[in-house]
Amino acid sequence: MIASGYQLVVRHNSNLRPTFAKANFWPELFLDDGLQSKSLVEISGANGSGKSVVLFQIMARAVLSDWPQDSCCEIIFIDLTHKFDVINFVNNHLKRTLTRTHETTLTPEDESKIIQKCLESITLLNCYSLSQFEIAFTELENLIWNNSNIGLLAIDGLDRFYWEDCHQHLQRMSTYYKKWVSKLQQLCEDHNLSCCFTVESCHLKTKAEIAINYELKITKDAGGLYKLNNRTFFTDENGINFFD
Amino acid sequence: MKLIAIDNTELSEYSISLLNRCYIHTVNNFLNEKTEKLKNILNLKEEQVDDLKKLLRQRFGPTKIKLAQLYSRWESNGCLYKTGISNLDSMLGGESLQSGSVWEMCGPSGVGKTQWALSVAINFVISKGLQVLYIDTKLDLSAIRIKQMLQSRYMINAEMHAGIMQLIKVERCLSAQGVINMLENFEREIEYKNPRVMKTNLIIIDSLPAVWLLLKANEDCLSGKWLLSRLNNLIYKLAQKYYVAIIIINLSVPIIADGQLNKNFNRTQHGEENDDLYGENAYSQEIILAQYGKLRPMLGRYWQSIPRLRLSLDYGSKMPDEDVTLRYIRILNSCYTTINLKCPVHLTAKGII
Repeated sequence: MIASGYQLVVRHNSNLRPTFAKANFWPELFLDDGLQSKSLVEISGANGSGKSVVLFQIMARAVLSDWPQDSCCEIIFIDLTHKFDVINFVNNHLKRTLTRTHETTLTPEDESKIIQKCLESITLLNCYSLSQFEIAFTELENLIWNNSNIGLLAIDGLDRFYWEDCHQHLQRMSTYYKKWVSKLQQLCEDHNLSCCFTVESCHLKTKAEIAINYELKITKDAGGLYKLNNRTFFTDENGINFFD
Repeated sequence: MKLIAIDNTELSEYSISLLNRCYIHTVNNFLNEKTEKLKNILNLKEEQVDDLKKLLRQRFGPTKIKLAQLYSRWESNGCLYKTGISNLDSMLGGESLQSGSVWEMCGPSGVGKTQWALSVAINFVISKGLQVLYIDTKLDLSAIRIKQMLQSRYMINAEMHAGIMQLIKVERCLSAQGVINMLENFEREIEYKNPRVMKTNLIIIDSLPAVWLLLKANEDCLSGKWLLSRLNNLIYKLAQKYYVAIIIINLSVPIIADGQLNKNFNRTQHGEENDDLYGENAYSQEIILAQYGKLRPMLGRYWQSIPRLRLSLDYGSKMPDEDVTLRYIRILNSCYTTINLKCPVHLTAKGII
């Protein structure tokens, strides 16, 4: 098989990337095998159901996972809903996950150092238009090419620019969704990454065949309780907890 | 994003016409095109083409930042303003009005939303001495009413009234596209560091339904959604990049009791369901009633999750022998605070207090 120099380097770098299979940061969602490389995680639900909360939890747990010394997992986060608040992320996600995962109490200095390291491991790309999101994919290639520590791509609001795209090219929601998921699939395959993204359920109604490795569906029952893949959960100072 | 000529670079008008002839019309086309082909079209060296690509990515691409840097920026540039309405500020606690917030106040017609917005604007100017941009789409903003509110606040000297009113910049707008154009102009002025706008830290849009309702007909439905999407991205860009707080006034309308929406609004041209509050992906009717009561905010499902904080202003009592100035402000939706809390306020000559 003939491959270009670029493809050979990409393949080489992809073998160096951190994988979550060994550091299973959320067994309730990803079972015993952990989040596999080259996989897509789709977090879907209605408006305001808490999709972003689940995504931020995944990001916090991934970046705080146990990594071998001198290595870390870096994350690229593309924010399309603009709901991300870094101060809230630190207080409600990073610090709480840190408290939950550490058996011994950390001193404020140690906690601060770990939080700082986590914040330096996450790169945020803010996109305010469809064209910026399209350019973000070119930017992603550059970022991933230059850094073999990047293991996770997180996108909040994959469906956000649907109406803007529809204004230029009329299309079904599922067509729009399939277009972007296919691009993400290709990116993850080429670079040995995992990708988590949130999408509103209405975009999945007439779902074309797309292989999603992990489907996390958030629903709300008549009693007002939230369910993630039919398991009732609640949020408190320890983050997301399942009732059973 | 269409390719445009950039001064002092190899991307001149002539270069753009050469690129257009080869079907390279947009920034994305240029960035995705092979460097070899671009070299031949523009007769440039490889390094020059790479520099152009880098420049275009910086200018038109997403903003890229490490969270550590973002955290320290917010700690130094972010500000907590507070609305100045004591019950409301106590209820919201740490989530009070701050730079980068996008809030929505909704309520039935005539309940006092404009009075609330004016009260917040006046309190903001008095406490911080900063400017407010008030975008009036209903053409019912009254300078006399603002003066009356100031005169009723006896703690403020009459000499200060003119100065306070000067800091509330009012712009009138009659269309959705007009609101977007106005905000885009504002963004351009801030980028050029125009001193006229640099001190503006609060934008109030009163109100969105007044101009977006004109786009409710089926033939304009797609334009309405597209403009809402553009508005969403624009307000958050202003909020996050320039630390501006934004308040939007919306209307609350009755939830149709039998759950049947007007079928004219249910389908767009391409068959997607529109404004489907009762579809399989929405919550059950009981939950909508529990969350919103008998009223729901306007502007459709797309807009439901846009504001970070959604408040509603409701009547306390309409009975003639009870306190008719009483109103309740309730938290309908919030990204970061408990919902369904409510606090009493009063609509007086001073505004909402």
